Amino acid sequence: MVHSLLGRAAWVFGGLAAAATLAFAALVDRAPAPPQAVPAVREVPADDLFAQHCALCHEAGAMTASLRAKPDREGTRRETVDFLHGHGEASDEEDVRIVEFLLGTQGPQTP
Amino acid sequence: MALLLRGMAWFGLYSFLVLLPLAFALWVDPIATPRGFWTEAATGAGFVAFTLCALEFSLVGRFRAAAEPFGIDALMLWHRWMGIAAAAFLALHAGFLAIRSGATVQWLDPFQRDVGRATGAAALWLAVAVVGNSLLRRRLRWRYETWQLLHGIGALGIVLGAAVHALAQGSYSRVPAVRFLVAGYAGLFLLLFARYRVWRPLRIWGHPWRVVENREVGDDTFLLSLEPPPGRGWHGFEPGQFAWLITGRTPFSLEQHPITIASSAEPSSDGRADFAIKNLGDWSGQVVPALRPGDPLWVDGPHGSFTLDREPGQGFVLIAGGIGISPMCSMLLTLRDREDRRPVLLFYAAADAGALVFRDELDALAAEMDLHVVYVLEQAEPGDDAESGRVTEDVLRRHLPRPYRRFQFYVCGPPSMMDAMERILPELGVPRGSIHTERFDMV
Repeated sequence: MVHSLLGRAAWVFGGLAAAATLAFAALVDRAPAPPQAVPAVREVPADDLFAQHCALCHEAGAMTASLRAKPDREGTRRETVDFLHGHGEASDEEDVRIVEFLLGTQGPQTP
Repeated sequence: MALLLRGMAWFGLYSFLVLLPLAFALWVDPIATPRGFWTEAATGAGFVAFTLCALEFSLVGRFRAAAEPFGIDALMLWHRWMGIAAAAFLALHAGFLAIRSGATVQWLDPFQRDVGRATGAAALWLAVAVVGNSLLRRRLRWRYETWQLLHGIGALGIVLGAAVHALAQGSYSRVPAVRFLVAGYAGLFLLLFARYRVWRPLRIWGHPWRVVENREVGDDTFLLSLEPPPGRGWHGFEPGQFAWLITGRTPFSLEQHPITIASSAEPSSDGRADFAIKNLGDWSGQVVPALRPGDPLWVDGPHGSFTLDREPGQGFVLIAGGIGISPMCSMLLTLRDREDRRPVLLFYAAADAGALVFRDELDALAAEMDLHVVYVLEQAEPGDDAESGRVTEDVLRRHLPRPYRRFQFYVCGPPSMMDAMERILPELGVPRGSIHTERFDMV
């Protein structure tokens, strides 16, 4: 007799799992961070910024290789930052951090 | 009551494991700045899809303790529903990401260079393929064994692909505890897979049963009598239970099918067990008829909760259609051997008189115990001494004894008959808890 109930139970279970998913999204997305925990852009690791704003569509390794292959490092940096100002949802300051990260100017300087 | 509590405990554990990664991710919440509702919804859907997939094997891995409260057929049906749900959550995972960042076909390319994304895309496509070919197997006319092999490989690919994707791509997986959790679920899946596909066959490899007799009993049905290896017989089974019969060169063979035991559950001196197998496909139509006395085959069982030993009743109503008579035979023979005096009413439905098997045996049993048999034939001829048509509410009302609401009802037959009985019997006032069914027509 349990069989006739299983289909309905599966729909209910799936619905509850979907509700849990949406609740998770709402809680994580809206959870206000404590004031002291809100990091300034400078304090957020650059790779986190890349993961947050770019990684859904772009792969870091490929982008780094592409940008570093260009001979004019400063020109490339400027052009890319200008491009990012009109692309995606990161702030201007975050755009600069992301480009610095991709060009490898974060951490040890490349020769 | 104890069985109900055990069932609730198992279902609680299952639900907990499905939602654990979601709750854990919420707890650790390593994302410093909000990424947007749809990105997080995608992450949540991905976690749920992954855990549903990872737990699929626990449902069909033949765990007696977990199967007992529900019945293995119910777990298989749940496995089927949860497979569909997992594919839906995977699609939601991709869909929510598309809402957030704009859909790109590149994401769906399983051959892209980025390993994290390629494995995610591969898992999604494999899930669509696995669910699709399960729903369409009959229409595609795939052999059961071929489907089973591809189903297993596909499931392995989905879980491993999803795990690599989560570890390589997931923002939450940067937290070591989340990585450990994801790897743990993948490990659990592999463990269950190995137990089912490696350890279980290895355990029975050296102990094959032997065919003692294989004879046709009518309507393209064979009665296979098997003898256990010395000292390795069952210590008993319950009437109505079944076993997986495995033919081929080794117990690793994919030729394994759940077949109900048709003989009495009372211990016999030689430990023999009989199985009635109707020609319903490649294996039952070609492999089974070719089995000869002395041939080895492996038996994994007994399994199942469709048995009259677990529910007290003042009497029994057995409703069988086609080869669904097989568990009823085991129940009747057992009641006879136990000298049980409780009344039994058997409705046995078939297309015509020629499609009835065990008719002589049933008529003989009716003379030995308090058994009344009602044959229901779709094409009844004059002189068949049978109801004409199908088992309907009218047919049941004509034959059910007055105290039938205190009887236990057992139904086994084609899906259409099972559906009808699950609807009609409660309308007749039979308590739902007194109606027991078993079906294995999953794919």
